[in-house]
Amino acid sequence: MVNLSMIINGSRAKELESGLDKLQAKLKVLSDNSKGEKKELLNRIISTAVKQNQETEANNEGANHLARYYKPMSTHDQLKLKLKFNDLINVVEMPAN
Amino acid sequence: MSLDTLQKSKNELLSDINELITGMDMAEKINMQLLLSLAVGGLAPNNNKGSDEISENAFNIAVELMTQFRDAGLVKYERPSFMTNELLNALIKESKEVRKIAVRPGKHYLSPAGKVAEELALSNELVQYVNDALGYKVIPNEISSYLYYEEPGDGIPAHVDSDVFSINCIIGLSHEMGDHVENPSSLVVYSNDGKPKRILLKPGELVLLLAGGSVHEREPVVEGEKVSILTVGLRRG
Repeated sequence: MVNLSMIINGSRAKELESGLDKLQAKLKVLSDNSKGEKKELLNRIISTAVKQNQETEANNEGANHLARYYKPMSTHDQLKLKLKFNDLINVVEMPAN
Repeated sequence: MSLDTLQKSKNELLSDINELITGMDMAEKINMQLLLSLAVGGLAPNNNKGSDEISENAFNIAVELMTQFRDAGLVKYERPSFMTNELLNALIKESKEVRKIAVRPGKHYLSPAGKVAEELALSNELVQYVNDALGYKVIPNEISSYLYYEEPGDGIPAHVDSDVFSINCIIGLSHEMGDHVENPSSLVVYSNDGKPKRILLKPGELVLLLAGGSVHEREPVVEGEKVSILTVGLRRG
Protein backbone atom coordinates (compact mmCIF):
# COMPACT_ATOMS: atom_id res chain seq x y z
CA MET A 1 0.00 0.00 0.00
CA VAL A 2 1.17 3.53 -0.68
CA ASN A 3 0.96 6.47 1.64
CA LEU A 4 -0.91 9.03 -0.40
CA SER A 5 -0.92 11.50 2.49
CA MET A 6 2.63 12.55 1.56
CA ILE A 7 1.25 14.81 -1.10
CA ILE A 8 -2.31 15.15 0.16
CA ASN A 9 -1.06 17.08 3.19
CA GLY A 10 1.20 19.43 1.28
CA SER A 11 0.72 22.31 -1.08
CA ARG A 12 1.35 20.57 -4.34
CA ALA A 13 -0.76 21.73 -7.24
CA LYS A 14 2.23 21.64 -9.59
CA GLU A 15 3.18 18.13 -8.54
CA LEU A 16 -0.35 16.91 -9.15
CA GLU A 17 -0.49 18.71 -12.47
CA SER A 18 2.72 17.10 -13.69
CA GLY A 19 1.47 13.75 -12.39
CA LEU A 20 -1.66 14.20 -14.46
CA ASP A 21 0.41 14.87 -17.59
CA LYS A 22 2.51 11.76 -17.03
CA LEU A 23 -0.57 9.66 -16.30
CA GLN A 24 -2.26 10.87 -19.43
CA ALA A 25 0.77 9.96 -21.54
CA LYS A 26 0.93 6.46 -20.06
CA LEU A 27 -2.78 5.85 -20.54
CA LYS A 28 -2.51 7.06 -24.12
CA VAL A 29 0.19 4.48 -24.83
CA LEU A 30 -1.90 1.77 -23.19
CA SER A 31 -4.97 2.78 -25.20
CA ASP A 32 -3.02 2.93 -28.46
CA ASN A 33 -1.60 -0.53 -27.81
CA SER A 34 -5.01 -2.01 -26.94
CA LYS A 35 -7.73 -3.10 -29.28
CA GLY A 36 -11.21 -4.59 -29.27
CA GLU A 37 -12.97 -5.05 -25.94
CA LYS A 38 -9.84 -4.27 -23.96
CA LYS A 39 -9.68 -0.84 -25.57
CA GLU A 40 -13.43 -0.37 -25.06
CA LEU A 41 -13.09 -1.18 -21.35
CA LEU A 42 -10.21 1.26 -20.85
CA ASN A 43 -11.95 3.97 -22.81
CA ARG A 44 -15.18 3.49 -20.87
CA ILE A 45 -13.33 3.97 -17.56
CA ILE A 46 -11.57 7.13 -18.74
CA SER A 47 -14.53 8.72 -20.52
CA THR A 48 -16.83 8.05 -17.55
CA ALA A 49 -14.32 9.67 -15.18
CA VAL A 50 -14.09 12.76 -17.36
CA LYS A 51 -17.88 12.95 -17.68
CA GLN A 52 -18.27 12.73 -13.90
CA ASN A 53 -15.67 15.45 -13.45
CA GLN A 54 -17.53 17.70 -15.87
CA GLU A 55 -20.86 17.02 -14.17
CA THR A 56 -19.62 17.88 -10.69
CA GLU A 57 -18.01 21.01 -12.12
CA ALA A 58 -21.17 22.01 -13.99
CA ASN A 59 -23.34 21.43 -10.93
CA ASN A 60 -20.83 23.26 -8.76
CA GLU A 61 -20.83 20.23 -6.51
CA GLY A 62 -17.94 19.24 -4.34
CA ALA A 63 -18.32 15.48 -4.16
CA ASN A 64 -16.45 14.50 -1.03
CA HIS A 65 -13.48 12.92 -2.72
CA LEU A 66 -13.05 15.84 -5.11
CA ALA A 67 -13.41 18.47 -2.42
CA ARG A 68 -10.78 16.81 -0.28
CA TYR A 69 -8.46 16.30 -3.22
CA TYR A 70 -8.48 19.95 -4.18
CA LYS A 71 -8.78 21.48 -0.72
CA PRO A 72 -5.12 22.34 -0.03
CA MET A 73 -4.89 24.39 -3.23
CA SER A 74 -5.72 27.97 -4.16
CA THR A 75 -8.95 28.54 -6.07
CA HIS A 76 -6.93 29.32 -9.19
CA ASP A 77 -4.95 26.07 -8.95
CA GLN A 78 -8.13 24.08 -8.27
CA LEU A 79 -9.82 25.45 -11.35
CA LYS A 80 -6.75 24.89 -13.50
CA LEU A 81 -6.38 21.28 -12.42
CA LYS A 82 -10.10 20.54 -12.73
CA LEU A 83 -10.12 21.80 -16.30
CA LYS A 84 -6.90 19.96 -17.06
CA PHE A 85 -8.40 16.71 -15.82
CA ASN A 86 -10.86 16.93 -18.69
CA ASP A 87 -7.89 16.67 -21.09
CA LEU A 88 -7.81 12.97 -20.24
CA ILE A 89 -10.55 12.59 -22.81
CA ASN A 90 -7.80 13.03 -25.40
CA VAL A 91 -6.65 9.56 -24.47
CA VAL A 92 -9.81 7.99 -25.82
CA GLU A 93 -10.85 10.32 -28.64
CA MET A 94 -10.00 9.03 -32.07
CA PRO A 95 -8.10 11.34 -34.40
CA ALA A 96 -10.20 13.16 -36.99
CA ASN A 97 -8.70 11.20 -39.84
CA MET B 1 -19.27 -10.31 -27.79
CA SER B 2 -18.68 -13.57 -25.90
CA LEU B 3 -18.30 -13.73 -22.15
CA ASP B 4 -15.02 -15.63 -22.52
CA THR B 5 -13.38 -12.99 -24.68
CA LEU B 6 -14.70 -10.18 -22.49
CA GLN B 7 -13.34 -11.89 -19.40
CA LYS B 8 -9.98 -12.33 -21.12
CA SER B 9 -9.92 -8.66 -22.15
CA LYS B 10 -10.85 -7.66 -18.60
CA ASN B 11 -8.04 -9.73 -17.10
CA GLU B 12 -5.51 -8.38 -19.59
CA LEU B 13 -6.48 -4.79 -18.88
CA LEU B 14 -6.36 -5.36 -15.11
CA SER B 15 -2.89 -6.81 -15.44
CA ASP B 16 -1.68 -3.96 -17.68
CA ILE B 17 -3.03 -1.20 -15.41
CA ASN B 18 -1.67 -2.94 -12.32
CA GLU B 19 1.75 -2.94 -13.96
CA LEU B 20 1.35 0.74 -14.83
CA ILE B 21 0.43 1.61 -11.25
CA THR B 22 3.48 -0.22 -9.92
CA GLY B 23 5.72 2.10 -11.93
CA MET B 24 3.93 5.33 -11.04
CA ASP B 25 5.22 8.06 -8.76
CA MET B 26 3.04 9.45 -5.97
CA ALA B 27 1.46 12.28 -7.99
CA GLU B 28 0.52 9.88 -10.77
CA LYS B 29 -0.99 7.47 -8.26
CA ILE B 30 -3.11 10.21 -6.70
CA ASN B 31 -4.42 11.20 -10.12
CA MET B 32 -5.04 7.57 -11.07
CA GLN B 33 -6.96 7.01 -7.87
CA LEU B 34 -9.05 10.13 -8.52
CA LEU B 35 -9.72 8.95 -12.07
CA LEU B 36 -10.92 5.57 -10.81
CA SER B 37 -12.99 7.15 -8.03
CA LEU B 38 -14.76 9.37 -10.56
CA ALA B 39 -15.24 6.44 -12.92
CA VAL B 40 -16.93 4.21 -10.33
CA GLY B 41 -19.32 7.08 -9.56
CA GLY B 42 -20.59 6.99 -13.12
CA LEU B 43 -20.34 3.26 -13.70
CA ALA B 44 -21.98 1.98 -10.48
CA PRO B 45 -25.26 0.19 -11.23
CA ASN B 46 -27.32 2.71 -9.20
CA ASN B 47 -26.03 5.62 -11.29
CA ASN B 48 -25.95 3.82 -14.61
CA LYS B 49 -29.38 2.45 -15.48
CA GLY B 50 -29.41 0.41 -18.66
CA SER B 51 -25.77 -0.49 -18.09
CA ASP B 52 -24.15 -2.75 -20.72
CA GLU B 53 -21.56 -5.48 -20.29
CA ILE B 54 -18.69 -3.12 -21.02
CA SER B 55 -19.81 -0.73 -18.26
CA GLU B 56 -20.38 -3.58 -15.79
CA ASN B 57 -16.91 -4.97 -16.41
CA ALA B 58 -15.31 -1.52 -16.46
CA PHE B 59 -16.89 -0.91 -13.02
CA ASN B 60 -15.50 -4.20 -11.69
CA ILE B 61 -12.03 -3.36 -13.00
CA ALA B 62 -12.08 0.09 -11.37
CA VAL B 63 -13.30 -1.33 -8.05
CA GLU B 64 -10.58 -3.98 -8.01
CA LEU B 65 -7.86 -1.48 -8.94
CA MET B 66 -8.84 0.73 -6.00
CA THR B 67 -7.40 -1.86 -3.66
CA GLN B 68 -3.94 -1.18 -5.14
CA PHE B 69 -3.88 2.20 -3.42
CA ARG B 70 -5.22 1.59 0.06
CA ASP B 71 -6.52 -1.22 2.25
CA ALA B 72 -10.12 -2.16 1.59
CA GLY B 73 -12.82 -4.03 3.47
CA LEU B 74 -15.99 -3.89 5.50
CA VAL B 75 -14.63 -4.71 8.95
CA LYS B 76 -17.59 -4.30 11.34
CA TYR B 77 -21.32 -3.74 11.12
CA GLU B 78 -22.99 -3.76 14.52
CA ARG B 79 -24.07 -1.66 17.46
CA PRO B 80 -20.92 -1.49 19.60
CA SER B 81 -21.17 -1.86 23.37
CA PHE B 82 -19.91 1.68 23.98
CA MET B 83 -22.91 3.06 22.06
CA THR B 84 -25.22 3.42 25.05
CA ASN B 85 -28.70 4.92 24.68
CA GLU B 86 -27.43 7.95 26.57
CA LEU B 87 -24.57 8.51 24.10
CA LEU B 88 -26.81 7.88 21.10
CA ASN B 89 -29.40 10.38 22.33
CA ALA B 90 -26.68 12.97 22.95
CA LEU B 91 -25.34 12.50 19.40
CA ILE B 92 -28.83 12.79 17.89
CA LYS B 93 -29.50 15.94 19.92
CA GLU B 94 -26.19 17.46 18.84
CA SER B 95 -26.76 16.54 15.18
CA LYS B 96 -30.03 18.49 15.27
CA GLU B 97 -28.35 21.50 16.88
CA VAL B 98 -25.46 21.75 14.39
CA ARG B 99 -27.80 21.11 11.45
CA LYS B 100 -28.51 24.85 11.62
CA ILE B 101 -24.97 25.64 10.44
CA ALA B 102 -24.80 22.92 7.78
CA VAL B 103 -23.31 23.60 4.36
CA ARG B 104 -24.32 21.85 1.15
CA PRO B 105 -21.18 20.64 -0.63
CA GLY B 106 -23.11 18.32 -2.95
CA LYS B 107 -26.34 16.39 -2.73
CA HIS B 108 -26.28 16.37 1.05
CA TYR B 109 -25.85 18.70 3.99
CA LEU B 110 -22.75 18.61 6.19
CA SER B 111 -21.99 20.00 9.64
CA PRO B 112 -18.76 19.72 11.61
CA ALA B 113 -18.90 17.60 14.73
CA GLY B 114 -19.81 19.27 18.00
CA LYS B 115 -18.44 18.53 21.45
CA VAL B 116 -20.22 15.19 21.90
CA ALA B 117 -19.06 13.74 18.59
CA GLU B 118 -15.54 15.11 19.03
CA GLU B 119 -15.27 13.48 22.46
CA LEU B 120 -16.46 10.19 20.99
CA ALA B 121 -13.97 10.43 18.10
CA LEU B 122 -11.08 10.89 20.54
CA SER B 123 -12.33 8.44 23.16
CA ASN B 124 -10.36 5.41 24.30
CA GLU B 125 -13.48 3.28 23.75
CA LEU B 126 -13.75 4.08 20.05
CA VAL B 127 -10.01 3.99 19.33
CA GLN B 128 -9.59 0.69 21.19
CA TYR B 129 -12.62 -0.75 19.40
CA VAL B 130 -11.07 0.07 16.01
CA ASN B 131 -7.60 -1.11 17.14
CA ASP B 132 -9.04 -4.46 18.15
CA ALA B 133 -11.08 -4.84 14.99
CA LEU B 134 -8.18 -4.05 12.65
CA GLY B 135 -5.38 -5.64 14.66
CA TYR B 136 -3.20 -2.55 14.49
CA LYS B 137 -3.07 0.87 16.14
CA VAL B 138 -5.06 3.76 14.76
CA ILE B 139 -5.05 7.50 15.43
CA PRO B 140 -8.12 9.74 15.28
CA ASN B 141 -7.87 12.39 12.57
CA GLU B 142 -9.90 14.78 14.72
CA ILE B 143 -12.22 15.32 11.78
CA SER B 144 -15.79 14.13 12.17
CA SER B 145 -18.88 15.28 10.33
CA TYR B 146 -22.63 14.95 10.54
CA LEU B 147 -24.16 14.23 7.15
CA TYR B 148 -27.83 14.79 6.34
CA TYR B 149 -29.70 13.44 3.32
CA GLU B 150 -32.98 15.33 3.29
CA GLU B 151 -34.06 16.41 -0.16
CA PRO B 152 -35.33 13.95 -2.77
CA GLY B 153 -32.29 12.65 -4.67
CA ASP B 154 -29.83 13.45 -1.89
CA GLY B 155 -27.04 10.87 -1.71
CA ILE B 156 -23.41 10.34 -2.66
CA PRO B 157 -22.48 8.34 -5.77
CA ALA B 158 -20.00 5.46 -5.52
CA HIS B 159 -16.57 6.69 -4.45
CA VAL B 160 -13.66 6.02 -2.14
CA ASP B 161 -12.67 8.37 0.67
CA SER B 162 -9.47 10.39 0.89
CA ASP B 163 -6.79 9.85 3.53
CA VAL B 164 -8.70 11.72 6.23
CA PHE B 165 -11.44 9.09 6.17
CA SER B 166 -9.43 6.11 4.91
CA ILE B 167 -10.51 4.36 8.12
CA ASN B 168 -14.09 5.47 8.57
CA CYS B 169 -16.62 4.83 11.34
CA ILE B 170 -20.05 5.51 9.90
CA ILE B 171 -22.69 5.72 12.61
CA GLY B 172 -26.43 5.72 11.93
CA LEU B 173 -28.39 8.39 13.82
CA SER B 174 -31.81 8.64 12.28
CA HIS B 175 -33.82 7.40 9.33
CA GLU B 176 -37.27 8.91 8.91
CA MET B 177 -39.56 7.65 6.19
CA GLY B 178 -43.22 7.23 5.49
CA ASP B 179 -44.95 3.96 4.71
CA HIS B 180 -44.73 4.77 1.00
CA VAL B 181 -40.95 4.19 0.91
CA GLU B 182 -40.48 0.71 -0.58
CA ASN B 183 -36.70 0.70 -0.92
CA PRO B 184 -35.17 2.86 1.79
CA SER B 185 -31.87 4.58 1.06
CA SER B 186 -28.99 2.37 2.17
CA LEU B 187 -25.27 2.62 2.54
CA VAL B 188 -23.89 0.36 -0.20
CA VAL B 189 -20.42 -1.16 0.13
CA TYR B 190 -18.92 -2.95 -2.86
CA SER B 191 -16.64 -5.93 -2.38
CA ASN B 192 -13.36 -6.04 -4.29
CA ASP B 193 -15.06 -7.96 -7.10
CA GLY B 194 -17.81 -5.34 -7.39
CA LYS B 195 -20.62 -7.13 -5.53
CA PRO B 196 -22.85 -4.69 -3.59
CA LYS B 197 -23.84 -5.09 0.07
CA ARG B 198 -26.76 -2.86 1.07
CA ILE B 199 -26.69 -1.75 4.69
CA LEU B 200 -29.73 -0.15 6.29
CA LEU B 201 -28.16 1.44 9.36
CA LYS B 202 -30.32 1.60 12.46
CA PRO B 203 -29.72 4.39 14.99
CA GLY B 204 -26.60 3.52 17.00
CA GLU B 205 -25.27 0.97 14.54
CA LEU B 206 -21.73 1.45 13.32
CA VAL B 207 -19.99 0.41 10.12
CA LEU B 208 -16.21 0.27 10.29
CA LEU B 209 -15.04 0.59 6.72
CA LEU B 210 -11.60 0.79 5.15
CA ALA B 211 -13.10 3.53 3.05
CA GLY B 212 -9.94 4.63 1.28
CA GLY B 213 -9.98 1.43 -0.75
CA SER B 214 -13.57 0.20 -0.51
CA VAL B 215 -15.97 1.69 -3.02
CA HIS B 216 -19.16 2.79 -1.27
CA GLU B 217 -22.16 5.03 -1.85
CA ARG B 218 -25.27 6.47 -0.19
CA GLU B 219 -28.34 5.62 -2.22
CA PRO B 220 -30.57 8.62 -3.00
CA VAL B 221 -33.39 9.33 -0.57
CA VAL B 222 -36.92 9.85 -1.88
CA GLU B 223 -39.65 12.38 -1.01
CA GLY B 224 -40.43 12.18 2.69
CA GLU B 225 -37.26 10.26 3.57
CA LYS B 226 -34.53 11.76 5.76
CA VAL B 227 -31.27 10.17 6.91
CA SER B 228 -28.61 11.48 9.27
CA ILE B 229 -25.28 9.87 10.09
CA LEU B 230 -22.03 10.67 11.86
CA THR B 231 -18.76 9.89 10.13
CA VAL B 232 -15.50 9.69 12.09
CA GLY B 233 -12.13 9.58 10.33
CA LEU B 234 -9.10 7.68 11.63
CA ARG B 235 -5.76 6.63 10.20
CA ARG B 236 -3.20 3.93 10.78
CA GLY B 237 -0.89 4.82 13.69
